Amino acid sequence: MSEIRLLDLIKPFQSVVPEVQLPYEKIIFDEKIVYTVAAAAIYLLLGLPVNGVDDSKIVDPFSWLRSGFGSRAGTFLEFGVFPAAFSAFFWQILAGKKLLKVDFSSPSDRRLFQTLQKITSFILGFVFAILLVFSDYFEPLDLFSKTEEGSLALTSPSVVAKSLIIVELTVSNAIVTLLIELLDKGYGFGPGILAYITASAATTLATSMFGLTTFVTSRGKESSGAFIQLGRNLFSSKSWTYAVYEAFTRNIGANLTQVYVAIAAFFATLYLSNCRYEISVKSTKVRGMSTVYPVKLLYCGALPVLFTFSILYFLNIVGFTLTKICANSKYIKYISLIGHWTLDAETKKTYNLDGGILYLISAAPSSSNLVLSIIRPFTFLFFVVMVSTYFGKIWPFMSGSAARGVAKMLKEQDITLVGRRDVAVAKELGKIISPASRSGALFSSAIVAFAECCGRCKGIAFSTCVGILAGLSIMEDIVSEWQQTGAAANSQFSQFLPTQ
Amino acid sequence: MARKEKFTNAPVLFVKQGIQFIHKCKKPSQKEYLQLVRAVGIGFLMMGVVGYLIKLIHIPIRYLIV
Repeated sequence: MSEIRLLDLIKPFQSVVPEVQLPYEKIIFDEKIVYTVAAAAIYLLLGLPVNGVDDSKIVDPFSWLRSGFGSRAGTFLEFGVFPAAFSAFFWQILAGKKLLKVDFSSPSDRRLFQTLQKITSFILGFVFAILLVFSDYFEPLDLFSKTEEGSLALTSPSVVAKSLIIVELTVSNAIVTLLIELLDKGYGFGPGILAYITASAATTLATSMFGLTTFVTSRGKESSGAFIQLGRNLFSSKSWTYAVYEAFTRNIGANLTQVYVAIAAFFATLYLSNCRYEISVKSTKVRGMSTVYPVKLLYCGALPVLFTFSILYFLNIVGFTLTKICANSKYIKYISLIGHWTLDAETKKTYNLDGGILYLISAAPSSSNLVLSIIRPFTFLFFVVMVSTYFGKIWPFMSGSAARGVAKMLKEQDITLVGRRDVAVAKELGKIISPASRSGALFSSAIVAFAECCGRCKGIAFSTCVGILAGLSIMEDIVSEWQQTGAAANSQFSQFLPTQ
Repeated sequence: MARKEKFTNAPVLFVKQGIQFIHKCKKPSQKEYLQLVRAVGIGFLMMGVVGYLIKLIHIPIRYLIV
């Protein structure tokens, strides 16, 4: 015992923190699909409003960030998978930077590491819940009375109601974290975080096209689905051109422009994700067997963009709550340098960032400060692309998918590169993998950031891209399981999946 | 001075490498692409239907609890 590692401090908690048991036997293919869909359904069912909160009246400053994390304002999914994703990124990077000593080859260390991530996720959910509750986030605007200064008043719930909200959000976040663990431990197709992001993105897309729920706006009732709204317009409005025009441009709820942007993003992302560099490999055991090992352009998939936006989400939650909580303190001058939020005058559904440091790295529409609004798109683009590219550069080394890890894996499977000696395999792979992961991160983040920063995209580009890339990772997991275990023979799904 | 040059050269070199990589990449053929679109489309549709149904279930629950 030379020193006490941080990981060892977690050990006492290991027995206290709820944990998903590893499956006793290998789960068969069909069951895995059922588990995945059922878990996603449970996740989506959590999208009910928290007790004591009217989610249709919440003024939401994070709407452009939350779509890619499967979160919904004012519901049990207030944070979505964000705490789990953030803690996973955080600890994995610390471990990769050797700031946290983990021996990933030892099972007990791996378990401790998982517990550490889980506890961090629980704590993050708890802390965010406290921050949001005390920054009056859950208090709906009172549109009928005004305060002395003339701004809209807030209806304030009691202390009991506030603590109830905190408890509810903490517990629901714990449930989400455990649901993620369920898929990660081999009951379904994972990574769990990506599975729920996919489910949520697909749901968002489906409901923004055909959502039946109606809400009351200043112009009367409107449907949440863009196509439904188009139909409603065609029936109710006298002029057809106006009906179509309105369906494309409405500001509340999804409009048809956003739906078409999402569909275009769907096809573009799929095309980009299928670009790959093929290395010819051959087996060392069987002579004459040669195939290709594809290195994808989007080597890290959705992760670089997701990482950047999780940082933005974190900064925004902390910044927003700090400015609201400290609104009456004497240091507000300095704190408001972080960011300044104003109520969107038209919809009264969102706070827009319009100043401060966070404005520079946001996709907010406009600012009262002209200089800031001119440089904002550039700083936002720069920030997102830089952080994502840096992440794309370091992530393979941290997750063990860098050249050395791949070379080791190939060697275990008795595969070698054609025309290379064993020693040179890692070096040769490194020449391909690191540019791939870096430029993949560069391209995906540049597309997302560009789409977000011009026009009022409201996170649609981000959520679709991340949703599809996440879906592709899940798909890969499914397909590799399908091909390797020979599930094709005894599965109910054989008519849907390509058998090759 | 040399350091400065290195600093400005790095991004250019990086972008060059990226473009080079793209050129070397194998683009998906039409058949592959359609197959992928179909597979992902089915997955997305499945999840979309599940999510949509759950949204429909939400409507009565919301009426009950709010």
